[in-house]
This record gives sequence, structure tokens and C-alpha cells, in this order.
Amino acid sequence: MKLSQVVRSLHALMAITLMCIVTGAYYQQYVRHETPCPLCLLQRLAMIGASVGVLMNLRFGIRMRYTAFTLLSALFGGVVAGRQICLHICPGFPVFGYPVFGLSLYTWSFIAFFCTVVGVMILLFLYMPDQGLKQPLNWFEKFAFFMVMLLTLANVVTTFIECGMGPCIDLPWPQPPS
Amino acid sequence: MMAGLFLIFLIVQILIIAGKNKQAFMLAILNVILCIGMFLHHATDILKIRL
Repeated sequence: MKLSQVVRSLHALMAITLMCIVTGAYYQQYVRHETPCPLCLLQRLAMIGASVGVLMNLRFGIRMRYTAFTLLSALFGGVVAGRQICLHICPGFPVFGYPVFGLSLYTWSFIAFFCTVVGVMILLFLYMPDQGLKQPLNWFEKFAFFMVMLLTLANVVTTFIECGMGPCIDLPWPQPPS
Repeated sequence: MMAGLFLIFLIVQILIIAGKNKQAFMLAILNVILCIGMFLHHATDILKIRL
């Protein structure tokens, strides 16, 4: 298998992994009845944004600006997740939402964004100029496209149901002890 | 507003499939800027606008 094909498959795998995480967020939303807060929705946006950068690489040939866009989205998502961690890290403040394997969802989200940045770094190490050529999509890459589009559409619908056309309401959380 | 941000990303993906790389990239960058604005509005006092 050529290196360029391996790199393209790794790109598709990154997008699919991020969409699996968003699917997990939907499980929390509809099975465990945890409505996402605005910061949670921004993290979903960041995951979709990182996947969009990957899709651009797959469709148009691997370019530095599309990889930089993936990196930008991952860094933005990391900042939002970090912000949410900081909101709940002080003693006396409970964790927001149900923990998953002992960690809150926003902590897992921060880990996921960190792993995305590491993944982008690895892909940049593996970059060769011949990867910049446009190539037809194979079935795995088409599946990545399908998953990203499906979950983006799902997020459009569910976010509209939750928030309507206006801003999403910040969910109340307990005040610090006096 | 938040649903609109997801919708813009969906439009970006449609543009990617249609082969419009420049338009898709510019719209994606614009959307990230809007996301940053939304974060600043929600999380800080830097950007307080009546939405």
C-alpha cells in the first residue's frame, strides 16, 4: 500500500473517530437525558470543523491550509473544553453532567481535541508532495463523508429543536458555597 | 443562532462535494470566526451583544 493511500485512510479514520465521539454525545443527550449546554454545542461544532478540514484534504488533495483548518478547529475545541473544565474544577462545584468512565464529557472532549492535534502532527510528519494531487474517493473515504454530513444534519435539527432561532440558554448550575 | 453555525458547516460540506474548494474554505473560515464570536459571547465579557 502506498504511503499516500495510508495517509488518506488515516485522514478518513480521524474524521470517523470524531464523528463517533459526536454520536456518543447524542447517546448522552437522548438516552441519559443530558441536554447539551452552549459550550457543549461549541465543542460539537469544533469536532465537525476538524472533520471538515479532513474532508477538504480528501476531496481536493492534501494541502497545508486544510490541515491548518483542522488544527484551528481542534485548538478552538480544546480552548472551549478547557474553559468548561475550569468552570467546574473549583472545590465545591459539582461536575456538570454524568461522568463517563470517571471523567466528565468535557474532560473527554479536551482529551479528544488534544489527540486530534497529535494526529495532525503525525499526518504532517507523513506528508509528501504527491499527496497534494486530487484522487478519487474510495469506499472508506466516502463513508467518512457520509458520517460527517449525517451528524452535521442531525446537529442542525436537534440544535434547532433545543434552541430555536435564538441563542441557546445557559443551563443553570449550582452557585459556589458562601 | 447555534443551529445556524451547524447549518453553515453543512453548506460547506455540500460545497466540498460540489468541488468548490475556494468557496468552501472561505465559508469554513468565516464559520470558525463566528464560532469564536459565539464562544466569546457566552464565556466572557469581551463580546456582549444582544442576540
